[in-house]
Amino acid sequence: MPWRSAAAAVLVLAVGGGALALGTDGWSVWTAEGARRQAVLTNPRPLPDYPLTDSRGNALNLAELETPLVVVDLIYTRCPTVCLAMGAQLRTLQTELAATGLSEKVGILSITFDPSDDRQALADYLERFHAIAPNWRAARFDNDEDLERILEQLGVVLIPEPRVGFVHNAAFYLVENGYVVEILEVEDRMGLLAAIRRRAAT
Amino acid sequence: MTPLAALGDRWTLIAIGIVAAIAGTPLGPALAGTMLGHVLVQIPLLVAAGWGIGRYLEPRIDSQLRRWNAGGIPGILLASFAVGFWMIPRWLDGALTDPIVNAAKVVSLVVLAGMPLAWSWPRLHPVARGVVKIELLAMLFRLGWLYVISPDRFCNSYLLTDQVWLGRGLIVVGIALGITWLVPLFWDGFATATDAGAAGTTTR
Repeated sequence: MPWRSAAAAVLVLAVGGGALALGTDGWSVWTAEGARRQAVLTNPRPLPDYPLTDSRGNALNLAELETPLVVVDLIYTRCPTVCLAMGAQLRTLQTELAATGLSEKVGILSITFDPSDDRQALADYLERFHAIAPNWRAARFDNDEDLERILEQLGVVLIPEPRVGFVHNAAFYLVENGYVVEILEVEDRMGLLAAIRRRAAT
Repeated sequence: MTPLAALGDRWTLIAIGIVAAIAGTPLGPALAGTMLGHVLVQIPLLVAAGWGIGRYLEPRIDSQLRRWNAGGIPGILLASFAVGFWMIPRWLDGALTDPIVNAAKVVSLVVLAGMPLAWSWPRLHPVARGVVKIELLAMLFRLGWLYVISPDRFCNSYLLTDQVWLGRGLIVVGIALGITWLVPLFWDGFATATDAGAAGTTTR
């Protein structure tokens, strides 16, 4: 092989390898879901001041939630699958928080992304999981545009699915003083609790 | 010479038409609507279109420049990286949610994959071709198997069932290509391979 081709091959290997390394954050992030979770770890994302109304009619603001730590999940109340799993995890979490005396510092907020979820639907949702008021609240955005924007900002992808409603990349968002600081797997309640304890201790 | 004739033969026009249709019409999003359509139809079409355009450009490339790809190895490597990059679920997903990423996908698959393939494959040594074919088959089966058995979604924009269908599709394509490439070897492969220059191992 003439030297030019050899040099070109080496150059392609270097640039191509570099592109793959960059594209995977150093061979560690292979999915869009992994990318958004990594992004908030390195760069906590401030939540915008979008108005919400909870199931009891109280006004909330996403940027100024009442407790220093808030576990947020995005749900829709008709959801037959993953939202049920999240609800069940949160149900356990709230008793764990109460048992460790963290209820004062940590709130839970379930926000619906389904515009057809009204206050009653949200109240029923909370009741279904024996949510303890006022620690666990359920709310909806006052403006549909705010909902669209927050989904895009957080990297939530909804796929409309005729039988179940939506397929969505469900996760727990741990919010600290108005910033999303961690995005966790819905099965990972122990990890969530550990993260809460770590942050509540400081 | 009319402008159309200057654009080259029919295949070049078809190739340009394919790129334009995928980049500028609802055909692109329609194909990307399913994971199978995205990976096994849209992406191969873009690479094939790049090949068509590259074939037209080949004789017009400066001979000095061509010496950098003597033997075709650099071009094949470039094409492999370009295709491989879009096999990363993160970027396949990104192409659906970010128009800039999608534009980068279209351009890179045409310019960095299809065109270098057209400039490199014909001049590639038969042994190197065999390596590329085997590696492609291996990738099809590995990815296909992974997508069929994985309980997790790799792309936020595609359903799990979509992913399983892509996995099956990849395996079917792998089997089809494997048969296409292997079967002739049992008939006249020995003679052809020898004619093409791959002497030694294939002649008994």
